[in-house]
Amino acid sequence: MTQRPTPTGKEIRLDSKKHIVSKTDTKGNILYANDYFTEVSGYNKSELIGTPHNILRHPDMPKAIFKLMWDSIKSNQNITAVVKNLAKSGDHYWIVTDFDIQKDPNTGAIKNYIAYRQAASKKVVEKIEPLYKTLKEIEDKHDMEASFEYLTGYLQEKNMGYHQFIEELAKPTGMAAMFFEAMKKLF
Amino acid sequence: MPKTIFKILWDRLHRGLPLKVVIQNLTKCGNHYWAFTSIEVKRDRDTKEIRNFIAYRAPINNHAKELISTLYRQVKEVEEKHSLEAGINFLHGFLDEKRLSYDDFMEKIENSANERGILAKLKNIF
Ligand SMILES: Cc1cc2nc3c(=O)[nH]c(=O)nc-3n(C[C@H](O)[C@H](O)[C@H](O)COP(=O)(O)O)c2cc1C
Repeated sequence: MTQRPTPTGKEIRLDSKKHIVSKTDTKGNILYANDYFTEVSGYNKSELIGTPHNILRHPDMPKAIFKLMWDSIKSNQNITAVVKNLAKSGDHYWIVTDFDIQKDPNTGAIKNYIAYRQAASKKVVEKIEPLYKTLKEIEDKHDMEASFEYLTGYLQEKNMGYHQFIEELAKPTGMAAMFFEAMKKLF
Repeated sequence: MPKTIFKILWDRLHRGLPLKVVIQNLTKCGNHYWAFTSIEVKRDRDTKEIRNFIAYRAPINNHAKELISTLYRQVKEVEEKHSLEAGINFLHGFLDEKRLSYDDFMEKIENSANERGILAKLKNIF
């Protein structure tokens, strides 16, 4: 991969009606990206295909959130997550994502993940940004274990898991379901 | 035409399964036309072995044409820059995004050919 883009601090405004969709193998290598994905990220399809999904990783994102996400989807549990992504231009965009997990019908082993993302609202970003900033600071000073610990404490105080926390915050959610509903109506 | 589509086509036919597929054909004089093609598998009545395939072609309208040609262009690009396997993965991703099987998708293309209103909307999503 070429050099990572340098963040500009500029936010890309997303169309709240459009979905950013991608499909990966079990390691997070991109197999498919829809048109809006390429439009927003600034990478064309050929650049994205076969590339690890961390091509979009923004340096402000705490590792703890990705660990939470991977732990969840690897154990066949959908998760709704808020992620700040880095476009090719260095600009960023905030999204709420959830997942479809595809399994081999014969072995039951996980084969693919599909992520459905939509614009995160201002309200969600306002709430999440300071939390992620704290997590990132803890990670930089200490390690991911410490930030994970902090996140767990933060959520315990609210008596919620991350998934539930985000769902409460970003409702209505169930992006995949919503997307699918919208598709059904169109046919 | 992407190789991916022909790979899917032959895999299916060799397993004795019929399929529907949109194919861009070239005429003798170099023009091309798009056809909604239904291919059936004919077997020997006694031995049950595959004897031949019969293709029925129907025209498709402009909306379906646009939709399919955009998809095919993307699949072909992935195929050429990467591999046939990547092309197949991409096509499956496209279908998975919509939670449709290949056959469902073809059926929608076929059915909506007569319903212009629906197709106009179809165009918007793809
Ligand atoms: C389906 C799927 C979608 C993903 N989407 C993103 C994404 O939009 N942005 C991102 O930074 N990471 C995404 N990831 C996670 C990355 O694979 C990666 O774990 C993350 O960027 C952290 O990078 P690292 O693992 O190199 O630390 C996704 C993973 C999967 C399986």
